[in-house]
Amino acid sequence: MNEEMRTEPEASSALLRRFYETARTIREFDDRMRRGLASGEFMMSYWPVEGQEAISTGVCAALEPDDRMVITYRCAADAIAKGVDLGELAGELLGKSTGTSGGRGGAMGISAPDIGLLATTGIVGAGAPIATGVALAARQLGSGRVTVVSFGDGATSIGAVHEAMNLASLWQLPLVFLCHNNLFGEGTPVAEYTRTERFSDRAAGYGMPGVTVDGTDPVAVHKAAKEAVARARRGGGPTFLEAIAFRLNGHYFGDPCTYVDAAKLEAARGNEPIAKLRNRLVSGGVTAADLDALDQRIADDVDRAVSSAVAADMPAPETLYAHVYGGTDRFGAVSEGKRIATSVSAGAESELSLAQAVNQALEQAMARDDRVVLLGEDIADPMGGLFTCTKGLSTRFGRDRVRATPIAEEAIVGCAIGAALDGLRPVAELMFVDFLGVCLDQLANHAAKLRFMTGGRVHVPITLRSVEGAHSGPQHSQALEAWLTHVPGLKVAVASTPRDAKGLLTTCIEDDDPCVFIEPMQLLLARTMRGLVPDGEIRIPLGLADVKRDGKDVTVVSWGAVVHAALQAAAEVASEGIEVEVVDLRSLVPLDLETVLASVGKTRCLVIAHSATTFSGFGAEIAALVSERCFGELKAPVSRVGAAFTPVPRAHSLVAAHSPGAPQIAAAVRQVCR
Amino acid sequence: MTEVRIPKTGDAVEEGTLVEWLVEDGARVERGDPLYLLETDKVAMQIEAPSAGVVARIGVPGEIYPVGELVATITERPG
Repeated sequence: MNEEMRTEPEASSALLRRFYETARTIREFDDRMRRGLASGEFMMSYWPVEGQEAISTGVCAALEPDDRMVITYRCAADAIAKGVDLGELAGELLGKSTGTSGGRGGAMGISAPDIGLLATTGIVGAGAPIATGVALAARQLGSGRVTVVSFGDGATSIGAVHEAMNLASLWQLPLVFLCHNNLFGEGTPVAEYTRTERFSDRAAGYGMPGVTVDGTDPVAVHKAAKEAVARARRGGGPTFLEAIAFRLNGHYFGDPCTYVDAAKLEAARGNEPIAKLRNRLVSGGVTAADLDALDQRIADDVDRAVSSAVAADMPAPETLYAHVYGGTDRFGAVSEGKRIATSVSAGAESELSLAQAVNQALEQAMARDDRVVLLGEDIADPMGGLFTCTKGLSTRFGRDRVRATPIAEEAIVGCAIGAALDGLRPVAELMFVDFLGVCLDQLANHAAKLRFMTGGRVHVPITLRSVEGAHSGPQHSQALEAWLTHVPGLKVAVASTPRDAKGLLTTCIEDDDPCVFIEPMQLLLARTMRGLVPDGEIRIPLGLADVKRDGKDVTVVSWGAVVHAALQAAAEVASEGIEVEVVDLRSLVPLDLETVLASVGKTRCLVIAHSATTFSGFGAEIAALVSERCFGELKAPVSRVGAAFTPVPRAHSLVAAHSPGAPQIAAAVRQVCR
Repeated sequence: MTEVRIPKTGDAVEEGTLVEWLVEDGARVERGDPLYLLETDKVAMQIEAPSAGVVARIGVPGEIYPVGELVATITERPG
């Protein structure tokens, strides 16, 4: 053990006894899980915590009941120390309807917001950005709560943790980074994946205190945690707390542990926390009989909880679709039978650009609801965003609500998610949709799934605004909506006009599910492309397409900037006597299939046009749905117009060959109605 | 009575070999005592007794059993 490691000799006997009870409960539960697995009583993935009990025990004893935690799939120690119901924990691990999340999340989806345990992640390090948001919500709402994010030593190598440490320190958030250093990153010893000798030394690089303690001593952990929690609560910012305790079992149940040095393991077993704590209590005057009776009561409690979980029902198959999206109805990707009209408040309209319309939607949402906060790169004044969509908002609402961030997309999206989990309605900006690759874990694995994997105990009302398209080369010009529509739990809207932008964005911000709102760059750059927008409120429901031009001969389904190319094509072929109906989907998920089918039912010819690659683009989904529903009515095969299956090139000559425009759409229209 | 079944030691594991018994049939064990050696295509591990009592062996050494197969019972006897 490191000589600089803090140890703490004194603690009241009552506190020691409380530590013993918690740590012993964790040990008993972990042991019961491994026994049940080894004897074939139940089967599931499980990540043992034996040896790490004192870390969770000491830290959670330093928290108020209302303080927050974000933890990992090696969950049992943290969850039990925070106070989770043992039966609900066991039920979730076993995938039962009685679990914390109704069996939807397993070890990776433990959530009990009533005791402050907001979320668990199965992605190493991903909890840290989320925890920054939970801490931000505490700050913004003045709750006084402190957040602890727990992760293993292995997570110190992943970027998300570093982005989160930088952001938390920059904003002096009430957050504690708790590193359970169990000396192995899954199956690799620490010295084989880093040259850092003490992980807490890294804190200095982010301008925050770092401390390393003996993780087998709950008293030492508790003292360090109390200091960190107190600092966070008084506004002194985050702390990195590293607690070292040898992992006495495998990474997972069944792990052959071929990478563990037997002599070191034996030494660690001789230094394990519970026996040490028991000896300390006995030498302090507690009788062995007293502790034996406590052990027996704990064993009985754990066994009762696990037995009830074993006996409990699995969730019913017909509940599969519950908690993918909010609301009580089955509500999937297609908005069948759930059409709501657009609502517009009476009053004047003004001619605005797309950027002005976005700005107005944000401004009005912020004025209506204090919980709306903005996060993103360069979004504060004087810049007001790369495309000026947020201009003036930090001046009007302050930099607490319009937060310019570091260039750190995982931190931006993760922070938005965490803030949304605990009461805010964040709108995050991703400067270009191409940067989805940097933050897709947060969006697809967390924003989209947390409602489901917590059985609806939490939800993620975030809006992610982003820009797609135009001609800025291979990494700043893509149309990636198909990456998003493939993920259950996300909603995806694309605006083609200033009016739609205001109405759709307003709805996204007020929606209880994570929404991605895409602003086509061509329209942001074309300042001449203005349109009438209501000065007052406008809400366009997601899942309500708009017929931008009526026609009887061919349906062109499109969205975003390509809608304008479709309208040009329609005007062009009108002179040849072909009447094109242009359907602007406006939202891809939920999809207004009803309007598409109604139009195709009339024209019996369908062309789908979009900016993304034709191959595996979202048009393929529409073509398939229409073919399934009305193959017999089609006069010609469905035609798709999209980009070539190449990266977006820089040279204008290549762009012209790559991207679809009005001529290609017109040609496709002539082809299908020939 | 506690049942001892072939465990699932990994998501893809469907069967395991009972390599060797580490207790005599009818012997008394304490919880955590070594019971038998299990081998799968992924791992070889010593399975411990999930409870205290008298072991009744069912499984045969060298045999391959599907996950969940009953290979022993442990019956607690008073005194």
